[in-house]
Amino acid sequence: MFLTLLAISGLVSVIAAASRDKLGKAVFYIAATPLAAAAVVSASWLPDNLPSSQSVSWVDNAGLIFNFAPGSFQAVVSFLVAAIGALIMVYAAGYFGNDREGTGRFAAVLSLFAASMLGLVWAGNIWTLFIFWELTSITSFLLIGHKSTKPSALQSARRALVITAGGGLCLLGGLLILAEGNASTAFTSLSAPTGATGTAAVVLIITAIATKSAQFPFHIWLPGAMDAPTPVSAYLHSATMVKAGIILLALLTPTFASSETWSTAAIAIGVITMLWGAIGALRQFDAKLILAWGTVSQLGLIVTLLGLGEPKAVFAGVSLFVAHAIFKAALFMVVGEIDIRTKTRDIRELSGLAKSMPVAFFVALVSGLSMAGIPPLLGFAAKEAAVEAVLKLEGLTLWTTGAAIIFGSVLTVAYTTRLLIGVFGSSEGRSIEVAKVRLEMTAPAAVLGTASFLGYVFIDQINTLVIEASGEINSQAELYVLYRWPGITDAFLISVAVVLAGTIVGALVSRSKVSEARALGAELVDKAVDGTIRFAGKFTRVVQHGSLPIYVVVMSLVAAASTIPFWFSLEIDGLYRYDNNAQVVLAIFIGLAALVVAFTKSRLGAVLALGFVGLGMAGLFINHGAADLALTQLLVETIIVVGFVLGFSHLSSSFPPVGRIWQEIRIVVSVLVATGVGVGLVAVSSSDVNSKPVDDFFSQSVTTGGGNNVVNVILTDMRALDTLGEVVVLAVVVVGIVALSKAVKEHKTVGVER
Amino acid sequence: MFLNQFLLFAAVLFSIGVYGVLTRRNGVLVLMSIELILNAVNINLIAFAAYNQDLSGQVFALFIIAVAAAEVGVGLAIVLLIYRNRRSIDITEQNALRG
Amino acid sequence: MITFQTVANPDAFEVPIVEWGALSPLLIMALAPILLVTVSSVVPSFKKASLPTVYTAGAALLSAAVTATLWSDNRLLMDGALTIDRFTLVGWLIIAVGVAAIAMLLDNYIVKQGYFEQIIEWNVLLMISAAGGMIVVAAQDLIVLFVGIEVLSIATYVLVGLHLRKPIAQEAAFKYFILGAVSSGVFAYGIALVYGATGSTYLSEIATSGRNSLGLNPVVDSSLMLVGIALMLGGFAFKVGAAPFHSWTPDVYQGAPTPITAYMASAVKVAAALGFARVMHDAFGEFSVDWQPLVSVLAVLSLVAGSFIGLAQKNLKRILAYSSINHVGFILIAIYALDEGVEALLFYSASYAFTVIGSFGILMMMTQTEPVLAESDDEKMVMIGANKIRNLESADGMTLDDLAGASKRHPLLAGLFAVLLFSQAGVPFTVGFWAKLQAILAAVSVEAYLLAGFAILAAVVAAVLYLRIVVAMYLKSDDSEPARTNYSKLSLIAVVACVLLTVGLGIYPEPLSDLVTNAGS
Repeated sequence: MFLTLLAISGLVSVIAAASRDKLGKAVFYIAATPLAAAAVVSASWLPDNLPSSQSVSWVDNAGLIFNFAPGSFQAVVSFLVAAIGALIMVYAAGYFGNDREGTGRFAAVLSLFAASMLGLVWAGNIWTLFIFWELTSITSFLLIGHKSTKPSALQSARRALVITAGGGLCLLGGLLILAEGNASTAFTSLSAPTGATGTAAVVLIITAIATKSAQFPFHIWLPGAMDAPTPVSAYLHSATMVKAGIILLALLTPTFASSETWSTAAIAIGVITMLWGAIGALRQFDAKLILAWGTVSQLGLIVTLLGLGEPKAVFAGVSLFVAHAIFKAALFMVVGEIDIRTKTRDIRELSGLAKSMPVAFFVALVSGLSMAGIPPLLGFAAKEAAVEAVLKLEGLTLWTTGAAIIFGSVLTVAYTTRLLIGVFGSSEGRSIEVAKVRLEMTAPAAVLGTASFLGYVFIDQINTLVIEASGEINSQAELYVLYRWPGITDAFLISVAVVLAGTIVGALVSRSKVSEARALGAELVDKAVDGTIRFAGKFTRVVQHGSLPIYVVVMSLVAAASTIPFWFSLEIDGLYRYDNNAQVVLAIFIGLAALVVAFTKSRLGAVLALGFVGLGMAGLFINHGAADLALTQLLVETIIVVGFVLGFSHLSSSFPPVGRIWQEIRIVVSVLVATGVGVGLVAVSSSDVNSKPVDDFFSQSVTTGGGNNVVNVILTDMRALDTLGEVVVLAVVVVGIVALSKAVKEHKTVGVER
Repeated sequence: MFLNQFLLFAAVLFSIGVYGVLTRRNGVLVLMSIELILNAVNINLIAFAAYNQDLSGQVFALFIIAVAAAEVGVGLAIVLLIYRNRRSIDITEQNALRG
Repeated sequence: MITFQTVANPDAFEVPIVEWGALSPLLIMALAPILLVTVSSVVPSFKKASLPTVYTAGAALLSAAVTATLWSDNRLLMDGALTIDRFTLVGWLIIAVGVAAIAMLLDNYIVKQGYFEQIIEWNVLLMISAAGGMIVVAAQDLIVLFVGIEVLSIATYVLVGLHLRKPIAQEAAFKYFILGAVSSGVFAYGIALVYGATGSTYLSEIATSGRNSLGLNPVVDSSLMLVGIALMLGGFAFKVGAAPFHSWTPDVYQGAPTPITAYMASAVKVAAALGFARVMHDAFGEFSVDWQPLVSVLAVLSLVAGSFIGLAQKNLKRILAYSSINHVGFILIAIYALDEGVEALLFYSASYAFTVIGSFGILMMMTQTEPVLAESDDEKMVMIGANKIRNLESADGMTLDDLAGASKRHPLLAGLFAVLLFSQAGVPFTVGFWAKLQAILAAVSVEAYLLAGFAILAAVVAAVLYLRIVVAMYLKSDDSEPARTNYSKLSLIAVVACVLLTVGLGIYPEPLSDLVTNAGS
C-alpha cells in the first residue's frame, strides 16, 4: 500500500513534468489526487488502526531493507502531511491562476516532495528515513529556486542546499554509527551506542535535526527560503519539511531516552532558537518573513519540549506539532493571497485589509489567535499543555527552560499581534488596491482556519490521537489530556498574563520603526561558499595552467615522491661489480647519447643520438645473449630514426626538396650502421655466453615450438595472446596514422580555421 | 651479482628522459625523450631477466620496443597535424585548453 | 575474494590451449574492426549513412551477449594469461555495452553532420581500443596487462585527435599522448621492478612469491617490489585520472570530440580501474599495508579535486571532467577496501559508466541540432571534401550560462539530462545513490572512517556541482523557443537507454546488485 501510494505520486509527478505547462493550473488538481487518497488512507489508520508494516528487500548484499511501519505518531503526521498537501495543491492552482509558466515543473517537484515527505513519515527504519530525508532536501532546493529569474532565489536555494545537505551528511554519519551497533535498523529496536561513539552519534544526529528543522544557528536558511512561491513556504517551511527534524527527534527519543547529551543538546538548541526566532519575527516587515521567523521560534519550542523528555512535555510537544501545522499553513496561505491580490507583503504598506478581504481576515484572525494560544482554538489547548508541562519542571530547569518557554510565549503573542494589526488594522490616509478574490486560494485557507476551531470543538477526538501519538515517544505521556476549558488553574492564570503582556508588547511595536533583522549567518554561509569557489578558481588557474610541462612536472614529482617511503629499505650493500667491460663501455655510450638527445640544439644531432642510444641498447641485448632482441631493436630503431628525420622535414617551414631528405636519411643510417657494427663486435666479443639461463627453454623450444629462436618461439606459441595484442597495437598505429595523415592532406584544401 | 649497477644506470637514463620531456619545447624532441624512458625500462628488464634466470623479461623488452615504435608513429602523426593547424610545434604554445 | 587457480608452472612450458569459446567476446571486439576495414574498402557505399554505426553497435552488443552466456564461467585461459570470472565478465559487459552506446552517439556526431570521410576509422579505432580494454580487465599477467593498456591508450590518443576541424582536439590529443606515454613509461618501469623482485609477471605467482613457511621469502627484495608497486600505482592513477595525476583530464575531456570524451570517461576509465583493482588485489594483496595509504591519499585528493576544485568551472565539459575525477575517488575507495569493496567497485563502475555516457551524449546532442548541409555562407560552415558542413563541435565551449533556457529549447533532453545529473549527485532513487552508498559502506566495513567521511563530504559538495547545471537549464531565457530538433535516432535511443537504466536501477537495483554479487568469489 505504501509503495503503491508513493508510486502513484511518482507517476503523477512524471505526468506533470511531461505535460510541460500545457495543462495550466489543472495539473495541480491531478497532483492533489494522490495526496487526497493518502490523506484518506492515513485517516483510516486513526486513532489506533495502524497498518501492518511493509518491507521490501532493496539491495540484499548491502543489507538495505525498505521498511514502512508508521506508528501512531507517524499516522497523525502522515494525515497532516497528506491533507495539507492536497489543500496546498488547490491553493497552488489559485496562486498560479492563468499564468502557465512553469506550472508543470512546479507541480511535478511539489508532488515529488510530498511523496518523499510521506515516505519519510512512514519510514520504519533509519535507512528508509535517510533516503527520503535526502530527497526532501533536494526537492526543497528545486522548489526554493523555482523563481529562478530572481538572483536572490538562487542564492537562497544554494544556501538551503548547503545547510540541509550538510545536515544530511551529519545524519549519514550518525546513522552509520547507530547501524554499526545494532543488528536491526528498525526504529523500534534501536539501542543507543555508549561512550565516545555514542556522544558522536548524538552530536551528529542533533546537528542534522537542527539543520532540517531550522534550529539555531542553522536557522539562517529558512528566512531565505521565503523566496520560494508561497505554496512552497506554506507547505515545506511551516507544515512539513521543517518538521522532518522533529519527526526524527521524536522517533529517536525512546532510543536516546537515557542520554544526558541528547536532551541537553536538544533543550539548549531549542530554547535559543525559540527566543531568537521570536525576536527576529518582531523585527521584520515582510509578513511572510514574520511568519518564517515565527516558525523558527515555534519549532524551537517543540524541540525544547521533546528534548525535555518529560511525559507532559512530550505530550505538549506533540499537541503543538499538530496545532502548529494547521495554523501556520493557514497563515502562510493568507499572506500569499494578500501578496497576490495587493502586490505587497510589507506591513508598512498594508492597511485595513480587514474590510476588503474579509474571509482572509477571518482565517488569519482565527489562525493567529490559535498561534497566540487564545480560546476557543486548538492552539489554546496545546499552549495550556505546554504551560502545564513547564509547571511540572523543578529546580534549575524550571527557572531556565521553563521561564524561557513562558517568555517565548509572550513574544509569540507579541509578534502575532503585530502581524494582525499591521496587515488588517487600518491606519489613516492609506488605502490599498485589492484585486478580486481567487477562490482557489481562499478556500483551502478557510478550511485550515476552520480546522483550528474544529480541533477545539472536537478536542476529545484530538485527545485520542495525541495521547496515542505521544505515548509512542514516552509511554507515560498517555496519562495526560488536552482540556477544552481547564478552569482557573495556575497554568491558566499564567496564560492570561502571557496573552496580556504579549498583546501590549505587540501593539506597542506594531507600527514602530524597528531595524530589520537579517540572518547574519546567512552572509557568512554565502561568503564561505563564494570563497570556496573563488579559491577553487585561483587554485585551478595555478595548477591547471594548460601548459604540458607543468603537468609532467607535477605527475613525475608525485610518482617519484610516492616511492620515497620505500627507499629507506633499499639494500645498497650489494653494490656488486659489473659483469664485463663491454657493459661499462655500452653504458657510457648510451648515457652520453641520451644526454645529447636531452640537451642538443641540433635536431639532426638529436636524431642521431637517439639512434646511438638504440644501438647501445642492441649491444646490451647482445651482451645478455638476446640476439633476436638486438636484431629487433636495430630494425625498429632504424625505422624510428627514419621516421623522425621524415617528420622533421615536414615540420620545417620551407619544405626541403625530396632529395635532401633522402640524403639526410642516408647520412644518419650509414653512421648508425657503422657504429652499430663496431659496438656489436665489442659486445659480442666480451659477452659471457655461458651464463645464459636459457638452456631449458632452448631445448624445449626446438621440440615444442619447432623453432630455434627462443624468444620468437615464446612469442608465437607461449605468448600467443600478447603477440596478438602487439599485432593489434600495430593495427592501431596503421589505422591511426592513415586517419591522421588524411586529416593533414584534407586540411590543405580548406586552410586554417578556428 | 651486477644488478644494482644496472638499476642505477636505468634510473639515470630514465631521469634524462624525463628531463628531456620537461625541458624540450619542440614536440618531436619530446617524443625522443619518451624513447629514452622506454629504453631505461628495457635495461631493467634484461638485467632482471638475467638475474632471475627467466626469459619473460626479454619477451617484455621486445614488446616495449614495439610499443615504443608505435608511440613514435602516432606521436609524430599528431605533431604533424598540430603543425598543419598552428604552424608551430612548440608545446608551450599548446595551452588553449586550461583553467 | 577473487581467487584463482594457481597458474601452471611455466617451466613445464606447454603450448597453451586456446579456448575459443571463452575468448569469443574479446575476439569479436578485436576482429570486427578488421572485417569492417575490409568490407568498407571493398564496398565503398558501406561508408554512407549509419551503416558503420549499426555494424559497430551490433558487434559490441554481440560481444556483450556472448559475455552474458559465459556467466558462470570461472577459469584461466591462454596458459594463465587471462582469467574469465565474474569480475572479468562484468567488466567486459560494461565495456561492450559502452562501446555500443558510444558508437550510437558517434552517429549524431558524424553522420548527422554529413561528415562521412572518416567514419570507418572512428568505428575501427573505437572497437580496437575497447578490445584492449577487455584485455586489461581480464589480464592475469603483467605483460598482457601492459599490452592491453597500450592498445587501449594508443587507439584513444588517435581518437581524441581524429577531428579534422578542431585544433583544440589536436592539442588535447597531444597532451594526452605525451602524458600518457610518460605514464606508460613509469608504469612499465614499475612492472620491471616488480618482475625483478619476484621473478614473474603472473599475478598469482607474484602474490605467492612473497610467502614461504616463515611468511617471508628471502628471494623477494621487498623494497624493490614496493618501489615497483608505487610506480605502477602512479601509472594506474594516471589512466583512471585520479588526482594528482588528473591534470590532463579537464583539458583532454574538453578538447576531445564529445563522444570520445564519453568513451574515455566510461569504458577507458572503467577498464583501467578494474585492471587496477585486479592487480592490487591479486598480485599485491600481501603488501596491502604498504599501498593502501597511497591509494587512500589518491582517493581523498580525487574526491576533493573533483568536488571543491570543480566548483570553479563554468565550462560544461570541464565540469563533467571534474565530476569524473570525483567519481574516481569513490572507485578508489572501493579498491582500497579490497575484498569488501569488490561488489561496490563493480556496481559503481557499471552505474557510473552509463550515467556518464548519457550525460556527455546529451550535452553533444544539445549542441548539434542544427540542420546539416545548410546553404548559407555562414562563416561557421566549412568544406570537407565535397560537402559543406557546419563546424562540428560546439559543446566544447558551452558554459553554464549558455545552458539558460535549455529546458525550453530541448525539453526532452533537458529532462533526461536532469535525471542523469541527479544520479551523479547521488539523489535517492537513482542508481548513483546506491553506488555512492555502497562505496561508503565498503569504506566503513574496513573501518576507513576518515575515507568514508571524505566521501560523504565530497558527495555533498559535488551535489552542488550537478544541481547548478540543473538550475541553469531551467533558468528562463528570452530566446527560449523549442529548437529544431534533428537528433540521430540511434543517439537518442542510446541516451534514453542510459536514463532508463539510471532510474530503473535506482528504483530497483537488485538486478545490477545480483550481477556483481559473487564477483569476488
